[in-house]
Amino acid sequence: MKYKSQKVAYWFFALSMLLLVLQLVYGFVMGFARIGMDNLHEIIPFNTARAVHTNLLVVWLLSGFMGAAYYIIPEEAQRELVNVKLAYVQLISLAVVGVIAIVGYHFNYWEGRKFLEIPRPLDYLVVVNVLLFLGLILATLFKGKRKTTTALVLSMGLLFAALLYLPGMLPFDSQVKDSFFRWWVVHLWVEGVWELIMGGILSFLLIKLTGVDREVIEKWLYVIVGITFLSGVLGTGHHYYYIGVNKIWLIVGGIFSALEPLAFLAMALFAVNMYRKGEKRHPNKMALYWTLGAAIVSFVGAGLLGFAHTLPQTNIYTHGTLVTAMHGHLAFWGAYGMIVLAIISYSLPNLTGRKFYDSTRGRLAYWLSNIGMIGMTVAFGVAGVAQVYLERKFKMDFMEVQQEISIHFVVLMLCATMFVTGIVFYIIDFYKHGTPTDEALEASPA
Amino acid sequence: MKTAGKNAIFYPPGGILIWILIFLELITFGIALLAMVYEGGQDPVSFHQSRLLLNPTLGTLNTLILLSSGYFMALSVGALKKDNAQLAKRHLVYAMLLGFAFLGVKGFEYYQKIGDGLVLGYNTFFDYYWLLTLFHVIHVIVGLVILGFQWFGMRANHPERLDDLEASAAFWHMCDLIWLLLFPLLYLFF
Repeated sequence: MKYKSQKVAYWFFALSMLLLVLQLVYGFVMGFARIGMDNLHEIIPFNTARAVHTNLLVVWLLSGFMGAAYYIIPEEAQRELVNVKLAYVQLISLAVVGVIAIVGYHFNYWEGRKFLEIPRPLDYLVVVNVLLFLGLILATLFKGKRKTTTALVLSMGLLFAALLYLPGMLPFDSQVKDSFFRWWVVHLWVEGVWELIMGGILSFLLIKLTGVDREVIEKWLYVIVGITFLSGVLGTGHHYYYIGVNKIWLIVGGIFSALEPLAFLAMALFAVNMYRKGEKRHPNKMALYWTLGAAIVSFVGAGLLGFAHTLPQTNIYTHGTLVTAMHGHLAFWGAYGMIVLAIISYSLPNLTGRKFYDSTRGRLAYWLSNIGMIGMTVAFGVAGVAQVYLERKFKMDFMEVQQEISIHFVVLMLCATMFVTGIVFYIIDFYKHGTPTDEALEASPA
Repeated sequence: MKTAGKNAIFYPPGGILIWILIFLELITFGIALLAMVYEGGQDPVSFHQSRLLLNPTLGTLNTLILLSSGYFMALSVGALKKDNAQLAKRHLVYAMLLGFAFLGVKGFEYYQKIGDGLVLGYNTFFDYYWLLTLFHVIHVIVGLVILGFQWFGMRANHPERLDDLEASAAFWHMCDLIWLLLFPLLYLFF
């Protein structure tokens, strides 16, 4: 680490890890419920567990992104964060809002809008929190000695993510209109501006880890991220099939979302090529694993599996089935989960001064979690295809179908156990690094 | 020519980036055109009747306008290669004026179609008509902005000005090419 204020990042990463663990717990609650062991039903009914599982995902990723920004921006701008105390205030308020929201879900304090269940009064607190975060980041950036493309793209991603939260707060009486704008938040986050954030983090990591010139990496990465972003914006149409809007969205959504895998493919090829091209080998092997893994798994999970059910002709059958869960799990893991774990793996040794660059524990964490997640994806996929045939083709009753496919959830949970074992190794590694210290400051900023 | 042999493929006129963009554009429009042909096959009667509602005279006129514009664009690049910036700028202006003429004719055509009630959502053929031509019009407008920057930029005698002009010309020719695919499919095919 080069600036003392980068230490803030550690605590955001720690919050991120805590929320990740909670997310996994709720995942298992649902898994057991699916095979009939729904003993917690009175306290955590399935719909609550589902909302908590998805909301925690978003918050741990956001906390990871914020940590990444607090680590990357001072280093790129070459100055200390403008106000460290306010950064801690922001961290605590984020945690408090998150806890209130999650606890509230268990007492039916929520809006029944998929992925944006957080109740309206808390929405305003989220807005204030994010404004504080953006203020700190942007002020640091603009007072800094230099404004790199990496830092600008990362900040723009975070800024637009904040702005795109607002359409989700518009009140509508019509279900169709509400859905229409709700997807602006959900889709334009994950297939739009979050890709800018991912691009910013990926570029920072590739510059640090491969030693390839900043100019080369920044030029190509932003072309690719730009393409991904552009196909993603009109790709929003794939959420508008058959929901009650104009049918031109079938054409627009079909064509533009069919292009999204190309951009992910380009990103994967690019990251691997930069790795091959790089002459300097950074000793932090684990960070390199996670970085390249993110680029490759996001192509498979977001690109290929997304394409598998994005065309309207397919989606009319697969809409709202476990096929979506299949895509969702590997896409979020590859594109966003792994990039957050990559920046944590890169920055932890620098923040704490303990250089666990390449350990058996780290490798176990990487391979177990990835193989486990791929297994889960396959289990979801098989269950999803079976569900589509039984429910949509043979018109069987929904609950009867669930009974038929419950065996796949046993397989799912076995694979999930493997995944969780990997994550446990990762968190042990996180814990063993200890807390950040000023002794880890590098003598001269290079 | 920067390098001979197979490496030349990485140094096309205007740089590789603009060509990646062009390929992606062609793939995108290509998918849309194929989808349209497929849907036309599902409902040939409606597509044929809708096609007859378009004005092929205006379409032909616009094709000629855009091709002439491309011709002047090529002349402009040729002039700059001979370091004749004055002539290059004059040809660039002709190319841009013809680009605006295209937008004018297109605007008139849109005005008529809206007047006849043939708007987006009228039927599947017109959905494709509007989406494809509007996306193309957006590209023409972007192209005109790029050419405008070239016209202003050429005053400064910077070393990369030929590269920049070639990249802009490649983009402008792409607009011609896409129109050459759209015109027969929309106005003549069904």
